[in-house]
Amino acid sequence: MNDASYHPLSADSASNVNLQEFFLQGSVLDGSIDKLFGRLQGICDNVKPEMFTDRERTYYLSTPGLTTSVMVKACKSVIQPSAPWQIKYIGNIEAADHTKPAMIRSNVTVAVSQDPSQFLEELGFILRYEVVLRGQFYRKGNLKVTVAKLLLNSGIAASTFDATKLEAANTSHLVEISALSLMRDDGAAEEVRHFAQLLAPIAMMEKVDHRRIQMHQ
Amino acid sequence: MYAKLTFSMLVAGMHPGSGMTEQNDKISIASLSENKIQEISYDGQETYFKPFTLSESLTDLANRINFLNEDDNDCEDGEEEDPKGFHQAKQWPWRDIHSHLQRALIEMNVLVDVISITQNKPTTLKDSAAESSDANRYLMYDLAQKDSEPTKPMLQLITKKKCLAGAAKILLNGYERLNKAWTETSGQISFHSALLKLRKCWRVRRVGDKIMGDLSYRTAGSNFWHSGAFEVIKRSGDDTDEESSYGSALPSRLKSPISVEVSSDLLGYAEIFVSVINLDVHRDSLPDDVSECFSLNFHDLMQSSVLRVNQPPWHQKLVNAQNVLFCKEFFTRLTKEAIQLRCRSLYSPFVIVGDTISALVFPHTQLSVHLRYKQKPLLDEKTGNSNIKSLFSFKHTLLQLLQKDHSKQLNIPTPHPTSAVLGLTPEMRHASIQPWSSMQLDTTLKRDDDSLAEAMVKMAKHYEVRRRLAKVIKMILNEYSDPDIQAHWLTLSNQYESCVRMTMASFGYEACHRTVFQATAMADKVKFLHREGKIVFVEVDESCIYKYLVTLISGHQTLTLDKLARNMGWNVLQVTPRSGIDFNSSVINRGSLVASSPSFDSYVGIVCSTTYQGTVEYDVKVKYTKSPENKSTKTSKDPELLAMQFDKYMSIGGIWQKVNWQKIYGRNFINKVETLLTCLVNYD
Repeated sequence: MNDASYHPLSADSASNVNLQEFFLQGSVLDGSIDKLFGRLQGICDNVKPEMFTDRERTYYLSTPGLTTSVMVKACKSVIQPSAPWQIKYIGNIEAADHTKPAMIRSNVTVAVSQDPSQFLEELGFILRYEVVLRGQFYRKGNLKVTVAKLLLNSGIAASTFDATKLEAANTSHLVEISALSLMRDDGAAEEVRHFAQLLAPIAMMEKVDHRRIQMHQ
Repeated sequence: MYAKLTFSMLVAGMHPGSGMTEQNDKISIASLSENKIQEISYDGQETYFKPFTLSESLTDLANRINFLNEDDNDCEDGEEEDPKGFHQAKQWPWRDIHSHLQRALIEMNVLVDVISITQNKPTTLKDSAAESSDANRYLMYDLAQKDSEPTKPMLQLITKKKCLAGAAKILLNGYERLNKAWTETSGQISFHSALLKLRKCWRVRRVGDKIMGDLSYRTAGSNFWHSGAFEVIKRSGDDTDEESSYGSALPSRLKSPISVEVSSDLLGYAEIFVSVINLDVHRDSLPDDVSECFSLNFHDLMQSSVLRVNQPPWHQKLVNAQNVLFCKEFFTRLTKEAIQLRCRSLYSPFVIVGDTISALVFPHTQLSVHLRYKQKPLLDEKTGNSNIKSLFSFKHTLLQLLQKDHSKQLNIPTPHPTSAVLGLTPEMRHASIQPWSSMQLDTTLKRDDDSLAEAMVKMAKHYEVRRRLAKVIKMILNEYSDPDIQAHWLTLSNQYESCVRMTMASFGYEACHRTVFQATAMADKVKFLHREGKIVFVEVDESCIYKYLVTLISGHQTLTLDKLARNMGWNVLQVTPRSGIDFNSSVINRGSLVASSPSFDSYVGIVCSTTYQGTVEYDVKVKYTKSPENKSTKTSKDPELLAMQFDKYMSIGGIWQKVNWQKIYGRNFINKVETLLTCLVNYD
């Protein structure tokens, strides 16, 4: 390795940090999923959609004194086990705006070399729940559209993951549209909203108040 | 009767004020009538029942006797008879109904009994134990036979005929309707069916009240600025046919009710013309132009006139327009890359003038790309130029590269898991968790990266190098017949490299020694790979290649001689295929061999040298040792020398004498040497 020309990867661009994510979520019943697939096939880029199966673990870190806790998700693909684990920090949804067309939250996604659960637990994060998402992935330009079914581990122990013993949590699929962009750059929000309008009335994608969901926990 | 009597007495009693003093009052007493009133008519007239005649009264009495009750009346009390008889009198008017009902009840009971017996169901009788279990004991079912009606064939035939006629009428109706519909639609193509046909090949969409289509390559991943939109217009039947570009009026059945409007800059015909031109003015021979003229589907249009008839005119128009768009995109892309490219492999940089991009790839070789755009089809121009040799690989590679680029835009590998960043290659994903530096990452990214301009330059250079190599090989083959040289061009080649495998062997001595090597023509050099594993890179210049091949020839000769001498039993004292030393400076290489006969009688020295002019020269010398003249000269000088005493010293000495090469019998050099060696051995 030439020391004089050592260029580490993180040298130039700091573009991976401080991204904000525009997203909208919705759901569709299992019976109408084919219609949704057909519509997505027509709207999105002219590529065959790809199946994916991801394990997602959500960790929360609650500091005394703060009301909201820090949420970190650790994701791993089951289909391609060689792909690295990803840790995704998700900030709280910016609650202020009714003017903005889509929901906004800050998002930092980083790849890690091994299973980060021990690392996170040592930091103080507590595993809240683990879920498996299995579905199809569509793309349109910068937008990512995922249509996935939530599957739960029917066994109790979280450490033993058996890919065959998964059962569905409910009878519907979760649809999510997301686009990443730099901070304070709002052009992607309109795209997300426009795309969501194309999916109505099969899947109604609206801004959901996550605080109400979190209060139930 | 009763009532009247009462009324009369009431009348008598109700007479007030009389006090029984007057006895003049008349009291009328009438007995009530014996007969009942049958009917009172509206005018008050009463109709009485006729009294019974004697016979009638007798019948009436007889009817009152209840024969059925007689048995019961025997068992039961006699006192009950009277109330029964009384009841019977009361039931009199209902007697008929009663008897009817009784009869019905009897019949029903009988039926139930019969059924239960045939089914062998246990009855309510107390002596059920005496019943047999055999169901068929008392009563059993049997088929009822209907009397067959006498057959009436005529009637059956008539009915069948009628039914068939009805069915046939329905079918005929349906057929007529379908026939009418078919003749209507096939006669002239309706707007909707033509639109359907259009939609099968092209993307169309309804926008408002217009029908717009898209003929660009956007959905395949292209990022070109042109939208490629066209509009579909419904055409009325009165419009004159303007599609006479092929000179022949289309038959009326192909006059389509739809016509298509493309944007004006896509009209016309376009074509990309790539040529590699040899600018060498010294060569007066026919210019070795290689030209490849290609466009996307130009040839499909032009070549098949049969297909042309069946295609509707809008299809040809759209295909043309798409072709123009493609050529435009391709040329724009190439221009952009040509400007940005800092290609060190070009002899002179790209020069872009109007619609031609040209560059010198070698000092006398020019690569030019020309976008031809005409209003008329370019058919006639192509056939005029007979020097054009078509290179399939150019067209194919460039199209493939463009398509690969498009698909790379579109087919971004999906991130697994989906929350990862979009658009990274697998190496990039792993690079972030492994200790890679950005230089390593760059090399992996650049591996598949081949821009159009670079590819084209490389292909042009390769073509030129290959042409030169082929030319040199041909020259050598023409000039040197001595060792037989064979060249086989391998099919294992791609657009940037091709190989030729060459074998040198002297005729008749192929088993003796064979020189085999493989020459690869690459973009900027020629690589020679020898059998012993040696690799030599030679410059692209023709004379360099020529000289190298000539050195290989002389080397081959020397090595063959070596093998030959050993085969014949001669002792090879020294063999040097390559030595850079020679006494006159006109020689590049000098290969030499010195061999002695098996009995050490004679020595042979052979030199094969390559001159700077590119020729091979042979020099063969022979030295005799035990020749009589030799002996005599020696002994004449020193008679008492050791030579007289020891024979072994006889082998020293001798003069090298040049051989008269023309007079030796032999087909080629090696053959002559073999003759020489054979002769020398036979000496003595």
